[in-house]
Amino acid sequence: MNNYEAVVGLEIHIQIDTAAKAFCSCPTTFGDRQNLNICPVCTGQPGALPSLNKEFMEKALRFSLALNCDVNKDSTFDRKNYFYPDLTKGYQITQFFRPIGENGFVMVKDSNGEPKKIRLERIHMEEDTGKSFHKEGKTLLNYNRAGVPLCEVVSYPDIRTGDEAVQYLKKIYNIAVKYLRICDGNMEEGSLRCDANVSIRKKGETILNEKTEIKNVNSFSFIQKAIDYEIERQIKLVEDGGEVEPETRLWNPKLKQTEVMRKKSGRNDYRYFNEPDLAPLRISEDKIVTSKNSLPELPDVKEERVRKIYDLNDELMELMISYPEVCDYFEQAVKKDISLSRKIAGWISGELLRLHDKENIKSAPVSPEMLFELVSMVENKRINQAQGKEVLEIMFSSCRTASEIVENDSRFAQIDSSEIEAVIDDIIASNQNQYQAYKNGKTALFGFFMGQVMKKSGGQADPETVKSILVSKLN
Amino acid sequence: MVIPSREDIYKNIDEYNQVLNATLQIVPENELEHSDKGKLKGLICGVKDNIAVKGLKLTNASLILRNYKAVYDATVIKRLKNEGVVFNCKINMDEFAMGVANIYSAYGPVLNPWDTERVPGGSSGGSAVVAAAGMASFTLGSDTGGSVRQPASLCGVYGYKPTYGVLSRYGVTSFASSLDQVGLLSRTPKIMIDIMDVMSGKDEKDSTSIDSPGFFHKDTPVKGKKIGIIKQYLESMKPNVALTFEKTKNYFIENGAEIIELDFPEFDKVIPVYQVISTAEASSNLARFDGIRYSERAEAENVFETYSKSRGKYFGEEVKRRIILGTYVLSRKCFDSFYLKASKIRTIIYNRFNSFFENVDFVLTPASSDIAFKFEEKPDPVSLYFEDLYTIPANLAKLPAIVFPADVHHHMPLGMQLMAPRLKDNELLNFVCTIEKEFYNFEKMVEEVEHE
Amino acid sequence: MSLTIKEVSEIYKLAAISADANEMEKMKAHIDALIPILDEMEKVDTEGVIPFFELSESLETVDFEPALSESSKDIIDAFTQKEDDYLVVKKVVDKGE
Repeated sequence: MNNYEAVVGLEIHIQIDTAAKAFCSCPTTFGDRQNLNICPVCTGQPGALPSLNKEFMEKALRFSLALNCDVNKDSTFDRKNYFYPDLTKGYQITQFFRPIGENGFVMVKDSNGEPKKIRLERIHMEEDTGKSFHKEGKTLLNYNRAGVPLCEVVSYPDIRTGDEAVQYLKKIYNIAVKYLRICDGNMEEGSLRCDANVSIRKKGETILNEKTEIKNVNSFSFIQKAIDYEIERQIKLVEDGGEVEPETRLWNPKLKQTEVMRKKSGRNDYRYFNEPDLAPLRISEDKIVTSKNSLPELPDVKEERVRKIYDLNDELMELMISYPEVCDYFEQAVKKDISLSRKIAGWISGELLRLHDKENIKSAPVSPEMLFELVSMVENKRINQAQGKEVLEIMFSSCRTASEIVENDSRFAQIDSSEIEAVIDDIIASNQNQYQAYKNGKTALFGFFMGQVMKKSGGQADPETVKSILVSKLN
Repeated sequence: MVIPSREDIYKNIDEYNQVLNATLQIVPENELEHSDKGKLKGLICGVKDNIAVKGLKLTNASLILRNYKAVYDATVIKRLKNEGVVFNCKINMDEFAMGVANIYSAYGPVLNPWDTERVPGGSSGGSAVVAAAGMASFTLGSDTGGSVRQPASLCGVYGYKPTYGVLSRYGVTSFASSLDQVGLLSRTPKIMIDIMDVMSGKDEKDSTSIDSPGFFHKDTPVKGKKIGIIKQYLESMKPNVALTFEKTKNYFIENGAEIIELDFPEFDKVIPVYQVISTAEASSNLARFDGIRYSERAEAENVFETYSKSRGKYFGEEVKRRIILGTYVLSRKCFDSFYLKASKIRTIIYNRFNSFFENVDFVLTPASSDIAFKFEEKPDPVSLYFEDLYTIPANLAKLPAIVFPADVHHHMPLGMQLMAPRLKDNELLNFVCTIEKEFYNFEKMVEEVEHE
Repeated sequence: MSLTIKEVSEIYKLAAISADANEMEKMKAHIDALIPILDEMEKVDTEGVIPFFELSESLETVDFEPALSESSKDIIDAFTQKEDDYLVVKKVVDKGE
């Protein structure tokens, strides 16, 4: 088994979230009544012509730049000719000869944890097709999706494992959905669709063998399983003296295996040629520079920077990189005291995001500054951890600051050590049996005393302080 | 009267339409709107059946669209409507604008009004006939390789194809997108200037459209003009055409124009380049007529058979010939040697004509290979492709060109063509107005046809 | 050069047009007659010439205001076969790419 390596390339179709379709002004709203968002252009009525949506072009340009692509200063729109009922014109408008972006890359980590570059061959703009529903003996077509903008990102076959494939897909997903916000990321509704080309070869070889294409693996966990399964299947097939045949396969999540959908019979002749209704798209150097400068900090750069400045474990790093807005919030919160970075990150991940949606942290009623104040109060032992959580909940419901809440609520009144000592003395006096037992070595009773003290103090006392006084009193 | 009145128009329709088979749909007079507003109020326009007028038929003279009605207005139609033009008929044509004689309509051929044994030219043969017979004030056609100008020559009317992009193609059924342009046909070029003023200009819905170069009337004398004539054409003309060409050239010389001979070494590549580019684009543009969404659907076992049977059954012979050739030249095997090669030669031809216009104001050429031929003389399909020899270069080079009546032979009209530099459309139209006044015009042509 | 009937049949398939043997024969003759005319293009030296479709000025983009089309109802009305505003075709059974 170890003599083989897998050669995997992914083709990802990403629906670009624009108000209007790629080549006409129909809305792109998902879930509207069937064939409501259609017009002469996207249904291919005689005489209808495409115009290019500016928003689509600009988002595709940003995407290309974010994926480290060279932007073609004159990219072409081309026609891919084939017949299918979900395709309204008998051709799809795409970019074949010169796509908007070429020669990009994204970084993943290989099995040793070392950084690895997955190169992108191209990113091109095209239009989506309509949707079909199959019924007994007939197919129903809804063209609301016909003409919705897509970017297709095609990788080189640099991927070697299912894990790398998932990292790659996640990276692209994060850039499109979380960083650039050019895609709504709804994989169930098909906003991001992935096909994987898989082949194997003996380690050390550079040839490309016959490959299979796994179509429409539209979930992160399926893609990993499907690719790993397919690699194993091909290795086993070849080991047993068989040959990999070019075919399209589908992932069956129930049986956890890939299955043949159809054999590929020769190459299709799509008769690509320049779309004569759309001139070449010329993008000026100025426009490219402006677009590049408007990009947010991207995940690879962010990861390196955040790791360097703050003391975060892998799990917290993952949170910050996957949710750039959470990271922004975090960085704002730790501004005044960077030494609290892990604590504050912990509060965000453990508590804040329990109370508020991480996709939309900006709208949380608790600002980063307010969270900082709260965490500082806990760290300074003004209130204890449990009280802190309670205060945070009150902050959410009342929009007040931690100090306002704590100072105006007797439950959070500060208890000094002399008060705690008095409480402990009281408890020892009224629980002599247990006290004696403890003295005689039943140290497990420490918890009992601890509980009694906390109870008596109404949870206000800082457990650490109670513990240290209790230890000295009991011994 | 050169521009017929509303009353005359319907009288002419009653008298000629059935015989000439020029229309596919007539709006009855009592249903035709009266418009009293707009720059073009009172004008009644006939529209080639490949241009969308909402609610009216849009068959493209094809069986595959026999029950199809336009669901929107073409941009040119919308702009005319806004200025008071009303539309009284959808006009017969060669199926999907593919043809040079109007014999390829699924609804029967159109006849030439000056001799019904002869063809009217094509593909806008019906539009030339409706204009000539006064069944509308003017008509719209489409011109991919001469489809407006060649029938204008054979029917004795003016036929003008603007610079590519000056008129929006939105709503005009695409034949070959990079060559197609809406054209005007009428008995006088004067109204074309007013119509173009209204119709021209950038349209967001057609990204290949461009700003209007401006249209207005101005005196444009012949004196001092430099008129180019193409050496290779002189050698190729048939006798009738040569005579008329000579006569026209002499008119220019006598009126103080300078004649300059031009060399067009690629002239014999015009037909292959056109055949490759136009059929390639057509094969893709006509893919939408598939029996699936709106066109006629043939009985079939499965959906893929629906495609081939619908297209096999409802497309006419010539349309299939072009689609098959176009599919072939785009196929992987032929793409470089045919399609790409043709596109490169097109660049050379484009540059050639632009260099001509560094030295001349207009280029004078024949418009058709001869006067209209008789139906019984119908040449084979391949020979018919050579009928557009003189008109195609204007499409390949995206230049404005107009055909004007210039002569009568054997009681049949014959036109000549003038080409102008890109965007010099207004100069061209005004120049032809001078020719109309001084040299030859529709009335003179009618007189000669009747009394020659 | 001339085409074989098999090649002609392949082109018909690509173009999605049905035809009987007789029609294909006629089409073959037509294309065979045209090919020598098209081959004339070989004689032109196009070294270094860019294809015409690359000459044009840049495509201008449009700032679309998203809006429902006035035509959507008419488009549905024109559907060849429909059911509850869906277009209906014979069941699509994949026949391979």
